Amino acid sequence: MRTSVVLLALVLLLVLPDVVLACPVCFDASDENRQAFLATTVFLSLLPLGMVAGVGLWIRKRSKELDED
Amino acid sequence: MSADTIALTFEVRPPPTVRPKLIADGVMGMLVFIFTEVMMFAGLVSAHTIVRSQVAGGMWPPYGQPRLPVGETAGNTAALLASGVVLVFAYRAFRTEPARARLLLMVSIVLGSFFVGSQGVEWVALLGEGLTLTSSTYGSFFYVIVGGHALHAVVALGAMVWAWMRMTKDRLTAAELATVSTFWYFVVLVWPVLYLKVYL
Repeated sequence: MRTSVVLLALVLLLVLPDVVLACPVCFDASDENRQAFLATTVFLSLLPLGMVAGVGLWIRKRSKELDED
Repeated sequence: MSADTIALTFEVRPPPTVRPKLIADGVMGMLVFIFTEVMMFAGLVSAHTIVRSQVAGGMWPPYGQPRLPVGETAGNTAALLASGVVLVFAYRAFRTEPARARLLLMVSIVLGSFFVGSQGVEWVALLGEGLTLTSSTYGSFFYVIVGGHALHAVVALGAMVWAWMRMTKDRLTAAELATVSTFWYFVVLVWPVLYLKVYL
């Protein structure tokens, strides 16, 4: 019984990747689509970091100005 | 000096210097709010970019959908940018020339209202041509992204009118004007990005 369950699981593991889309963003192989995913991933990753860094630098500059006054 | 007398000594220190706030509380709160809004628009623009890249044959706008009025909106964009520039001058004049600041703030409001009104007229024409929220993903993205921006513009204009009214009664503080201005600058600066992505 146990052996048959393990065998069934192995067979499913071999068959399922062909049935399901293993990667949710791999449905389109066009180059433009890949570029769009790459560009938006980079954009959405860097944008919050850039905003936080920008405000941080602005606060630092403002602090220096107040120290000089 | 007797044995049970306690000698007290006092050190005279200079009074602590009061350092002004780096950022007004309102501006800081507005910045946090704007961060979230920037990420919302960034998400929408990213989704738009990906959907557009998946269109078969690169046909954008899709067949049967009207083209967006690029030229007219460029004029509206110029009015909105001018509104932002005028607001910068209004803020600078606030402490030294209140009457001039009042006038400039009003000019900024009028320019901003022109932008919102013109966009409204444009929307009515596009609805007449068959571009609706459900007509295509093209229409959905247009109304969600541009409509989201219009909603922000209307609320920011309301805040500017409120600031102008307080300014006429000499009740407006510099921090309040800075907070309202920060919101309007966001509305002004995010628009060119949306225009380039959605209209062109």
